Amino acid sequence: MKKRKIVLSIFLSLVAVFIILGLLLSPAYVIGAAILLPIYALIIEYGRIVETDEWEKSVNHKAGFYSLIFTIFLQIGVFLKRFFETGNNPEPVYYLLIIFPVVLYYLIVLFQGVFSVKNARMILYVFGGIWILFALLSEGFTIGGLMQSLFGIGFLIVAGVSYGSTIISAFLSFLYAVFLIVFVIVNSKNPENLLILFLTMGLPLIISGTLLLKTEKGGE
Amino acid sequence: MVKNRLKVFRVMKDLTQEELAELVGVSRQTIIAIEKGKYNPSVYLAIKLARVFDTTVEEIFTIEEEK
Repeated sequence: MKKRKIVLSIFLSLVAVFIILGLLLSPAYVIGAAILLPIYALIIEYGRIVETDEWEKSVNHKAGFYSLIFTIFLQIGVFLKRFFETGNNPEPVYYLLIIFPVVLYYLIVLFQGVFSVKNARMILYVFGGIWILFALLSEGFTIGGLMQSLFGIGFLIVAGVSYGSTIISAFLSFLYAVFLIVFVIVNSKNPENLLILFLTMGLPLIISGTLLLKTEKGGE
Repeated sequence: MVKNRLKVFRVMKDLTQEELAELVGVSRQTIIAIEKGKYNPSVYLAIKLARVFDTTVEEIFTIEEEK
């Protein structure tokens, strides 16, 4: 524990130095902090430099979870600040700040589940539902809205097929991911939108496909 | 809820928290957290603790039904 605290103090000091250098000299120094933080997390979780026992790991995981919640609140604050400052709908990057940690956390939790097929369906239902809701809320019950909601219905179809055959469902999941990436996501006008679409369309399908494939090989 | 008598066993065997931690290969903080009921150890650690005191896991750890 003592060693872990020393390593943590050194890492945080270095991160602080990079941030201060970023403020004083050039924003490029912030990249140093961005590189150091995941290195610290990986050393603590998997490294042999600092031996962490099970309680220390549980403390780390709790700290990570509460930090995530705090980060999301902070990013919602940043989002709202931008909205009140400009009076307009904030740029996609502000949405990305909120979506990215939430989606990543959710997918990591589900990916570690033992009951892979259930988690794969859960991913498909949640993201399919989000896309249907988004289409209907933004476009209403118009032809355009119904057409847009087809993206979400695709997710639900893949989930439905998994009740019959997980291997076909896995294949469809990957196929649908490729289709969306090739025809929808890469045609996105700006890179921020591209990332949002990949996180909420492509990645969930790739992960659910992997989970279904794992189940087919004896995951459940 | 899991209750434990780890402190009783440790004192009976005249061990400090540091010594017990060393015997089972964890940090002293882990032993403190278990004794205070703040942390439930893994099955692996529970068995290791039981072996140190030459007893069973159930003798050290008990499940108290919540009302």
